Amino acid sequence: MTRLHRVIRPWLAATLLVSGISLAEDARELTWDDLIPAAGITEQQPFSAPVYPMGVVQELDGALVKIPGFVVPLEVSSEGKVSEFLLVPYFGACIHYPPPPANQIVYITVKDPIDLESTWEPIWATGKLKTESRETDLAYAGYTMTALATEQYEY
Amino acid sequence: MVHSLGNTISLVFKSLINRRATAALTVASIAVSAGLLSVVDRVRTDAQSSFANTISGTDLIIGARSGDLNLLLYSVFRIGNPTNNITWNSYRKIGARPEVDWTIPISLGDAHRGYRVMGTDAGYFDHYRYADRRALEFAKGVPFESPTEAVIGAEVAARLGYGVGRQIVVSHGLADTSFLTHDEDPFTVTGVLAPTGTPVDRTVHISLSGMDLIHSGGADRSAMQLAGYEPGEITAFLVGLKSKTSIFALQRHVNELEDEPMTAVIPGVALQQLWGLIRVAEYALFGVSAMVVLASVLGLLSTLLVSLNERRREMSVLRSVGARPGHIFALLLSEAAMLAFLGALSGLLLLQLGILGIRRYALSEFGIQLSVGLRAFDLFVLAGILVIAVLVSIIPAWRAYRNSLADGLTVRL
Repeated sequence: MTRLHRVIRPWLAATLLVSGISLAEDARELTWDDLIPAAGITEQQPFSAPVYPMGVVQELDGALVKIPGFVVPLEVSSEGKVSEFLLVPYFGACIHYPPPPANQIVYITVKDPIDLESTWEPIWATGKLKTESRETDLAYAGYTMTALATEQYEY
Repeated sequence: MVHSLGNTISLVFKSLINRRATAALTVASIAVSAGLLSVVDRVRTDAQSSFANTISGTDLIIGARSGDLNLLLYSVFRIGNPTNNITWNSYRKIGARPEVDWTIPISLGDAHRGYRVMGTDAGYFDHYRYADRRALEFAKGVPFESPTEAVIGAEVAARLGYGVGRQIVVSHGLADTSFLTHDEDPFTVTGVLAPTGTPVDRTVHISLSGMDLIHSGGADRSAMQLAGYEPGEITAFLVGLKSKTSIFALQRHVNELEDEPMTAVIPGVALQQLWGLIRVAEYALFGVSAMVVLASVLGLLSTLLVSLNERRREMSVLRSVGARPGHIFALLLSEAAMLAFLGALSGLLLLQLGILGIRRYALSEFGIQLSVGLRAFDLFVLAGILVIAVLVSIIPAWRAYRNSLADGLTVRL
């Protein structure tokens, strides 16, 4: 079954790409800096963690966006596919780097669970972004998205 | 004579019956290879779904410092042993953080007749989720309310024939038979959980105070309270967060805590690591079973080639009653196809019987729920073996074709 999938995968990806085209045209392509309120990174020194302002960009609430990132799987389905994950700008489980702040994480739910060959492969996620403003503490305010399409990121 | 397909098949069949010993051996070797190829894929997918279904909706698993996989395996799948316990104080401190929604303490280390005993609190029945966020349900009874009450999983109840009200004794250690039993502290079963298909089915759940009770020698049972009870230490705990985006921050906080060395893992990430490990083993096994298929098809080829000489007379008889050399060619191809089909089909069917036989054992020993029934991959195996066998049999078919041209109607052997 999965072996068959592996063979079919490039085709699936291709059809996803085709069906995603109209979506991708409307979607605004975001960089991770766009998710940080105000000026973006305030200071950065070599070998030290960048300091980000906290909180979310409220204007992005409800915006159709396309964003690239790494997948940190949260919910794994019985077929070994990922149905919920965190999208982060760099590989998240790396212990040599401080964890990304809440506004550099997008919590994504996908309708069709995705088959991940390895968590090191970045992907593009397209969907409506939602800001989590209910959170009282600014440090935990982040973004959520129900992804309409995901595709492999090509370097 | 051999003009129709039905004729060809009946002819092949009769010819095979005549050489039943070698035909049966060929079928058997193909059956073994087909079964092997199918079982490798089945065990992997079933193991994967058994593991994936066990935990859902938990954001972090926190335990004593160890590897991600180790922590996941012993805390949730009850495979292997905990490296160390963590203090109740650390548990309380992390549970009190603002981003934490709920926590479930887990205390392991005892067993009841081979089934693990897990100490926890009432939150377990409220917050624990499996297989796409399904909650635990009680088939009978209610959660434990006093330190000497227990809730048992579906398989424990079914295998040991326990029901609500039954008194059970917990023994120290994990073995089936332990001589260190806590005889003086019987527990009363108050609830039986509905089947989940996860390790929960094979667990006896008691309260944390009950866990301490059996280790304190049952000194003063009356003094033990369930509400607000604080044990010295627990094995691990599961954490649910208010916001998924705070997972990394809490994970980092726990991993860097200086009070106590602890590890926090994201279940999905640890599962993904597990798949990675399984995948390596799977590729190796898959390679080996593909080679076995190849060997069995080569066996088919050699049987056909060897049989050609002794069947020259059979061929010339067929020629004499009107078969053309092309028919001889088709005859050989259909013979190979029939052997391959019978072999692969019987292999796949026998495999189902085999799985039925070891199902129970696989579940209780390894926690893997093996499924019965043909699936898409099995059809793939069947078709694959059929195609390879037919392709390979072109060689003997071609030789038979040439022979029948050269020999004509009479053979001089």
